[in-house]
Amino acid sequence: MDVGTPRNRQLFSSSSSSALATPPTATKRSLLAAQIEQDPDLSSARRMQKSQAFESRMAKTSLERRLLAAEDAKRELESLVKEKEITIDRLEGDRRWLAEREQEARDEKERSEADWAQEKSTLDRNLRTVRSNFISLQATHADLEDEYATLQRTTSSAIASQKSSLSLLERKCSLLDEERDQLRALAQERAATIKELRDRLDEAEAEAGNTSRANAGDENWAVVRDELHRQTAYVRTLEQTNSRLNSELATYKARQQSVEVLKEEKRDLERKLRKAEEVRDRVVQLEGEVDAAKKEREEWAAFLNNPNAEPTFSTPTAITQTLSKLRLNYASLLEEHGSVSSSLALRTAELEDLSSRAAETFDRCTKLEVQLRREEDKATRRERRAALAEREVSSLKALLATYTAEEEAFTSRDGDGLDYDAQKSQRIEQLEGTVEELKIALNELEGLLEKAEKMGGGGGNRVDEEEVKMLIQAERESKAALAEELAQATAACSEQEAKIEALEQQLWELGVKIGAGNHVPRNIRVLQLQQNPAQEHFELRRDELERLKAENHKLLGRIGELESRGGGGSAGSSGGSEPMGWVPRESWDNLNQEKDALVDTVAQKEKRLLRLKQVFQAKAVEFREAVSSILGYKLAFQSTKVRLTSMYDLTASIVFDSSSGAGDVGTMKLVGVGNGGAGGPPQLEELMQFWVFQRQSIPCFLAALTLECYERTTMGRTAGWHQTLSEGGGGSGSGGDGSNPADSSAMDMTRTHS
Amino acid sequence: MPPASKQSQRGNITLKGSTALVTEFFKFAVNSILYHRGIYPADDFHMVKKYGQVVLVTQDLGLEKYIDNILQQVHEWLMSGTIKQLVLAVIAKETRITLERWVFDIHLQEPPTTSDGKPAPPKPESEIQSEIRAVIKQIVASNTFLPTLNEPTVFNILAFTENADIPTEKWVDTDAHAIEPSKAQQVKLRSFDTQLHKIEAMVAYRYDA
Repeated sequence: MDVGTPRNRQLFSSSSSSALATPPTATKRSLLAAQIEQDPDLSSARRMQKSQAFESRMAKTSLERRLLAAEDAKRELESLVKEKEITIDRLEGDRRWLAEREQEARDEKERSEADWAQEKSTLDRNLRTVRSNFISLQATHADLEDEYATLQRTTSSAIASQKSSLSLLERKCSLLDEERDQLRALAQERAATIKELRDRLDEAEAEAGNTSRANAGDENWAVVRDELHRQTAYVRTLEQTNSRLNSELATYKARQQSVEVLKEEKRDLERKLRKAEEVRDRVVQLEGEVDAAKKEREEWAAFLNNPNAEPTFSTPTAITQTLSKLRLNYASLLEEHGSVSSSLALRTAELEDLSSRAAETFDRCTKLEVQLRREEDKATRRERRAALAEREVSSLKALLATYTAEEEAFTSRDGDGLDYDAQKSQRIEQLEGTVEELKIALNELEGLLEKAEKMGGGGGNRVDEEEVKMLIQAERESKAALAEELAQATAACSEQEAKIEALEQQLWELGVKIGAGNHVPRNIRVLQLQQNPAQEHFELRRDELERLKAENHKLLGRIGELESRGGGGSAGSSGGSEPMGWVPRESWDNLNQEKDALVDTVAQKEKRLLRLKQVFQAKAVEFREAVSSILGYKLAFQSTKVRLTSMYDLTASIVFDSSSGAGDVGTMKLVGVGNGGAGGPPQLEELMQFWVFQRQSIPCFLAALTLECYERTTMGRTAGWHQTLSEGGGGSGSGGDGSNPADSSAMDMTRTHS
Repeated sequence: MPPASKQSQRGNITLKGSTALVTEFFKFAVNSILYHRGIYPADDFHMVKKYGQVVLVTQDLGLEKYIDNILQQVHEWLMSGTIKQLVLAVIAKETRITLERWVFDIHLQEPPTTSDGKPAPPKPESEIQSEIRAVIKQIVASNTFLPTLNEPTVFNILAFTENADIPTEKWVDTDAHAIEPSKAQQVKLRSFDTQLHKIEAMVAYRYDA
């Protein structure tokens, strides 16, 4: 292609050159014209073509012109554009400068703004503080105003009070002034009066002096003096008596005191006297006693002195006698007492009797009273009745009188009133008869009533009471009995209730039992429909089971049959280890199928494996060839060894054995080093020494060996080595056996695989 | 004599009516239990309006026929007054253990053969229906406390009769399908009565704590 393209270009260029070669057209045109003449149709077509060509040329020229004009315009425009660009550049520069300015301005502005903000914040803060100050000041101002107001108020009030007090004081002052003036006036007045009085006194004194002096011998004065004298004398006497009486009074007072004391003493003494009298009485008694005792003693003494003396009253015998007498007396008195007490008892009994009798009588009395009341009632009733009867009688009499009067009147008037009268009298008689009858009836009724009352009252009451009492008693007894019965019944009831509860519990339990179907009453039959779902289900199951059992049985029979027919050895397919080893047809088929499937899969697997092996072998060959062609060694992998054979010297083969050494240590064995190489071994030694022992690099050693072998082959080729090459191949085979003499020069080397 | 015969007739009529009511109740009660306890698949049931509420009735022909057969006989026994109890037992398919027993005690309140006694004013049917509705609602609500039936179950209806005429070709004696006494729990449900029959419902169930 690269070669082809220039040629094509050449072709194109030649064609374009031919197309551009327009000048020889003039000659051709004549020809064409001739042809046109020959063929008018063609010529017209040509003409048209020509005219078209001309038009096209004209158009082209015009277009070219336009193009030129356009180019000019373009150039102008370009220049313009350039100018514009220049201006734009300039403007851009300006703009940049302006932008910088703007940036600066902005920066400055930002800075100023920041400053401003800072300032503003500080100012704000200041403002805030100022405001707070202001507020606090306002508050203080308000406080102060308040204080001021209060103070004003207090001061005004104080002023007012003071004013009022002042006015008060002024008033007082004025009052006092007035008073003072008054007092002064009064004082003056008084002073004046005093003076006047003094004057008058003086005058009077003077007058008195004058008068005394003038009337010295006046009688008045003598009388007065006498009188005075008398009076003074009287007064003196009076005073004297007074003093005397006073002294007397003192004495009397003293006496009085003594009298009091005496009285006291007297009272004391009286008390003592009373005691003394008591004592005297006692003393008298005691003296009497003593006298009696003395007398007795004397008697006793006399008796003792004269035991034979006649027993007097005062002798012991007399005493005994008196004693016995006294005893007798006592006995009699006792008797008397007994009789009296018995009589008393009798009397008390009598009294009781009497009291009971009295009670009885009282009872009777009350009864009698009741009766009396009844009688009185009766009497009053009778009286009333009598009164009624009397009234009736009187009315009847009155009636009669009127009748008689009428009768008289009638009789006096005319004679035929007799009949009437007779009629009347008859009627009256009749009426009287009826009255009598009524009275009789009334009496009868009263008698009946009395009887009834007697029957109802009197003796009937007591009987009723007793009856009632009896009844009440009976009722009480019956009530007690009933109460007892009731208590028993309630006890029984509670017992029964408890029993009922227990029974209910039991009933519930039994109900549960019955509900759960654990108990069926004796005469109850439990029935079910013969064809019920449960039955059907279980029958179905049973049928199935039975079918299976039958099948099993049959199969067992069949096995037995087969065994008996085929013997024990016929169970070949399953090994015959079990006597029941007969396999059903289906399972055998199943197994067969399975087996076939398995065989198929195995075949497929084997095929795949084969393929893999082939591919692997091919790859291995390829790999080995590649390695040998690249590295110059033929590799032969054995179980644990790798055998390397140089391409250039088939006798030179090296074996790496990884199994001989322990761990990661492998053994390199130089098997053979060619046959014809004269300087082989020493060189090999050198190489080995240099690469393996010093540099520790086997690849380099191998490369060096390859180089060596190659040089030798070329050297051998030049020195007729070609012939000996085939011999070397045989030698290599002998070297592989290990019986090669070079084997002696084989060296064992160890190297650690890094 | 005419009034007595009329009375007896009337008594017969009420007995018939009562028996019909009770039989019908059994039908719906059994269907409700079968549906709500999931003994038959829910698809087999269709809704029917009864007692002023919706009840579900089976469409399974076999089951329908079975229930009808039973109820026919129960009707006869009710008429003769020889049935004492009707029990629906729910049985586990695998183990044959009775899991639930729905017991309907039937009490005769008046011996149906005698027409003596004063006829009480008849109980309005609406009242009876409301009572039946309450019982059915309780049956439905029993799902809340009954243990869930996790295993496949089958049911059987048992009739407890006393001195009854038994068509032996159809009915056979069986055991009472008792629940193990130590594991039995019982809940008494509502009851209803039609003056002649008093039906007391209750459910006993096996409960492994």
